[in-house]
Amino acid sequence: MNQSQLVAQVLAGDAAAEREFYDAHVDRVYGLAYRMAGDENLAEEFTQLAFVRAFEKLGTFRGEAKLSTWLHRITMTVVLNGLRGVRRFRSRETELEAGDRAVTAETTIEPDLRQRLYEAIDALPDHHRAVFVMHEIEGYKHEEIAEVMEIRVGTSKSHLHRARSTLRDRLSDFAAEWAS
Amino acid sequence: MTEERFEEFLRETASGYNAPPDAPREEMWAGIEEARQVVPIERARRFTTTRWVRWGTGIAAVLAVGIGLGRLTAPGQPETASDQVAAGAPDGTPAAGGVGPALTTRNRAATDRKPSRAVRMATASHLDETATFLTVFRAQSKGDGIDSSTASWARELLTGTRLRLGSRATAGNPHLRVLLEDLELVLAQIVQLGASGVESDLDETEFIDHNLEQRQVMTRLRATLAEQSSLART
Repeated sequence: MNQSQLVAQVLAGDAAAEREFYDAHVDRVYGLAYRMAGDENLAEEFTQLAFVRAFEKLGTFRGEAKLSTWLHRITMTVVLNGLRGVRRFRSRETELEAGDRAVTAETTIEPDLRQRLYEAIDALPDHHRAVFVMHEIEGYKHEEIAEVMEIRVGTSKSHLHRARSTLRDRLSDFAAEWAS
Repeated sequence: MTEERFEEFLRETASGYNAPPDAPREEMWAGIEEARQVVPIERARRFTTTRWVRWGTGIAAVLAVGIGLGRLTAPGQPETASDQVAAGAPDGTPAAGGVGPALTTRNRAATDRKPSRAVRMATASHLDETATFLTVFRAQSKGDGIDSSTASWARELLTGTRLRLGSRATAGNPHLRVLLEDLELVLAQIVQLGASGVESDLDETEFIDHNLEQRQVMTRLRATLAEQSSLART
């Protein structure tokens, strides 16, 4: 069954087609959600919500993009909105936790380079991190990222460049290790 | 050269960043199916058009219908613990400690898994948005009535509420589950209000508004929000 046939079947209410659509895309959607969320629970929620939204909006899919690109766009919107909500609460707690962090900071062991890299990726602005994850880790091309993120190709390249520069700066004290 | 080394280092090392485990396909699909259930319009209209003077005797039935939204259309699913809670609480208040160990597709996945800190924050965020929505709804219902964007917003929140009912966000927290089920009912009613084109029907908006008060939904919502925020710090 090709893409347009599958969409037509889903829109007609064919339960088997719905499941086929889900099975065809769930691994990639979940993978993207997990890479961005870094949490199994959240990744599941984001994946489920992305598919619910996709089924709701499938009638608006016109076939101008690939179905997977269209679905990944929904996924990234769900993920970024969801993470914004989490961060909002995290920032509210920042002041409350400040005292605890001051105590624990002294006992923190210096993480290794890999861990430092992951923390540095975590700290990237969401849009830079999204482009970095999609391009460097998930293997998307800039053209695909531009469609998913609804940005220009040049913006995608710019985000990636900034992400790399930021990571390089944040890991500069490890330069001897990664350069060796 | 150094730049090339850095690129190489990134390629080799970044691939392990948040490396996903296998997707829990069946578990997620079950949640998606539940979240997509549609409120039977006739049933929803029947209880939303019930006058509030009948609430004293009708609330348990209303909740049983509301909590079982769409679930009745899914054959083979056992009665939920929270159905029992609702049915056993004719005054409309949740029965403390009344949630038993019965398993459904909603809570089966959640039983042996504790919610992560991030999920608690996401749940707190969802409850916060729902509280904001209900405040807006109540203001609108006392003014010019709800508009179409309100029903659309309610639908989004309803989906999020249903997903959380089947997730580990509710694991080990019966109060949260009962609250989410009440929110599911109220949000479904508001969605139906928009779908049935009776936005200006004051009886129906008053019914929902009174339902919120009767069940002390806003009070419990704020308390649970505070609890989830607190848990997310631990």
